[in-house]
Amino acid sequence: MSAKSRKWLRFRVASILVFSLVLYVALVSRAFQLQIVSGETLGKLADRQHRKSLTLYPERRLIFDRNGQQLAATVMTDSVYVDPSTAEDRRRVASKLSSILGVKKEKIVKALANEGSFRWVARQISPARAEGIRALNLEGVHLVREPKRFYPHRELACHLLGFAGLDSIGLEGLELKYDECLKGIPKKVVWGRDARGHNIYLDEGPGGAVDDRSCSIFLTIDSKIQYIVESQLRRAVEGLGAKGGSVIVMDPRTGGVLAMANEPRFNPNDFSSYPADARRNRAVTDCFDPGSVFKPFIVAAALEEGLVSETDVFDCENGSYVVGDRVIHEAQSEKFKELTIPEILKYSSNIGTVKIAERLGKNLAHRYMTKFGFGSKTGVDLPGESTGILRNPRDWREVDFATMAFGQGISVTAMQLASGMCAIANGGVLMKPHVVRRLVNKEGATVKEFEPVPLGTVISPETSRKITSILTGVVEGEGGTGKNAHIVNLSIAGKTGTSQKFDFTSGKYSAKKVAASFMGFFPAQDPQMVILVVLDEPETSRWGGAAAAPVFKRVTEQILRCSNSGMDVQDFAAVETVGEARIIPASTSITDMVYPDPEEDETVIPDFQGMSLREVLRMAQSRRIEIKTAGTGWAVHQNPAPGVPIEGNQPCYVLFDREG
Amino acid sequence: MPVARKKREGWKIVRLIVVALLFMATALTYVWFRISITSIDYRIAGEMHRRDALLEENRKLKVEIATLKSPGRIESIARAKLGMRYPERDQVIFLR
Repeated sequence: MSAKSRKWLRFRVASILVFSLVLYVALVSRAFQLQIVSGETLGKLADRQHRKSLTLYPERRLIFDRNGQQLAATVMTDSVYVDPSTAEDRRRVASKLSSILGVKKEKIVKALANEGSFRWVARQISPARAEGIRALNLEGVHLVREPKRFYPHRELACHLLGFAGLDSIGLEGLELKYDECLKGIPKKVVWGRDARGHNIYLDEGPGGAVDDRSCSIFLTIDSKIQYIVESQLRRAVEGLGAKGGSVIVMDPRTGGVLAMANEPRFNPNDFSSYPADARRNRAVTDCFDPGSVFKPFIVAAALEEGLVSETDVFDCENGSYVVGDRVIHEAQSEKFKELTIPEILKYSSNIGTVKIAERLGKNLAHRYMTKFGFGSKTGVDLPGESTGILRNPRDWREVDFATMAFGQGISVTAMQLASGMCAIANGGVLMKPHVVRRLVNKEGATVKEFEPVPLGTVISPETSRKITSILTGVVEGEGGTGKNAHIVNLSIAGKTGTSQKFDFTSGKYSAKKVAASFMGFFPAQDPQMVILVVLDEPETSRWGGAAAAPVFKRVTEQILRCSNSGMDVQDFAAVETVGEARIIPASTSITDMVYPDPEEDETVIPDFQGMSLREVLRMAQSRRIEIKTAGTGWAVHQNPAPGVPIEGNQPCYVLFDREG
Repeated sequence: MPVARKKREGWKIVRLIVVALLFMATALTYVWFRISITSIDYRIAGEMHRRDALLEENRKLKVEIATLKSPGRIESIARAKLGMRYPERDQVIFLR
């Protein structure tokens, strides 16, 4: 190699080295700039591109009745929003969205004219509409999943459940009262995102959509009883032309509310379409003068204090009794002379009750009213409860005290009345009414159990027994005001009430506007249910005994027939008997009836062969034989054989076959 | 070049190739693992979506059951379609 060539070679090597060095320095500088100088900012930018943060709304927990029937659920629905910054041809987009969503075009155009990247167009739309929007695939129009509260039974228990709004926040009823418990906390989950926008799982911690602290609620409500009560209340309100009404069914032993219904009612799935008046839970928010249903509390107090006895006779002044500057009359211009305490309640004598109250005195009467829970909230776990109005006895004039004795001049809620009646029924203990039985977590474990809470003893079991006996006479006694609530073979204690409503425009009690009520419990010897019926301004029948008592009767009959109440209803189900005669409703077909042969010996097992299951059960019931059955069709075989003497509780096995 | 030196040079090249191959194998294994992890991440994401969809479907079905079991609906079908009515008192027989 010549010297010139070697020189050229060195030059080339040096040039490459310099070039490489410059390139290396440039690369290192750029790396330094990217990693160190702008590293943090660029890292955040990259994260925004590669990661997707999703806010997962926790599923709002459910509400069940006492038997596990779902009353409130959560479903996921689609909501539509627009991104004005990316939307093209706004008028066309607005027109297409408007045709599918039924939203005014101008409203969508206005939303699209906004700055920013997010504007709601329609929320919680139907799946069909969501599908239509997906199919359009419009630029700048997006769908997002949102939870929506759904009430599968529509109006059933609407006032109790209340409702949750668009953002799954409880607004009324139990949804509001237990909002914190039901809603949980929204959670953020981070996903990776590739160049095509597909999700990649990032193992950055536990996922899951439901917050563990949220709980489902099990109520004391029985949806079957609730349905019976609602249908009967609606039927009564429509039939009597009443303005509204309430019915409460309670278990006096625990204070648990089994059903609570109001009219008018609403569909919580579409609550915004109803006026506020229809959404109000009148049973706890509205106060009214109770009328004669209040009398048992005055009588119970007087009996408890030993100031009167059941045999005491009161002069009822032949229908007119002067108190202060007023004259007290009996309802329906009745005129009574001398009545005992059971008769005073049986005929609902105002004057008799006033005289009992006079023996009791203002202070004692006020003390017992307070002990029965009037004038203060019952503490039921529902929002918006009223205290009612119970004035200080120092402010009572003579006539105020007299009218209060028969339930005018005192204001109570239906909840207070039902709760007070529970105390009379259960032996004298005032129980705290409640509608929630237990809270259950996601795994189904009970987090909290709501035990019955006794608030205090109001009267002794002895007084409770006495007043129950007197109230049984109101329903079962001849000429009792509560006779329309009478059910054969079922002992019911109850009291009717008809109260004049206060007319705020005239400042006087209205002669036309009344609240008709009936309050009772059964079975009287072992009370298991207290039912209160209140009808607001019934038009065609204004008296509690005529308007409200039949509702009580129908509700009770249906509860005993249709629900698994666990009560001993054997006697109730039996056919009515008067002396030796059997009374069978005319609706029962003759062929359905099985008459025992009078000549047949009823102390032996009968011959069931050839009978249907119904016939066998009916005959077995009449002879008090326990039957165990197998198969379907007609009886083909039995053990013991016909003619064998009936021995104690020995069951009779009957085999049925379709071939007969 | 003597034979012994040639041999040493040959071994050097072989060692170099082996090292290079090992390096490549390690690199390829690493890449293969990364690809596998990414692919599993995709599958996990897919399965999680499927789980969410199935949970939602399950929830919808439960709500549908509750709707179908609604006493109001059952009564209207019993009355209107099947011509049923509430039983009279003596028609009810309680079984224990």
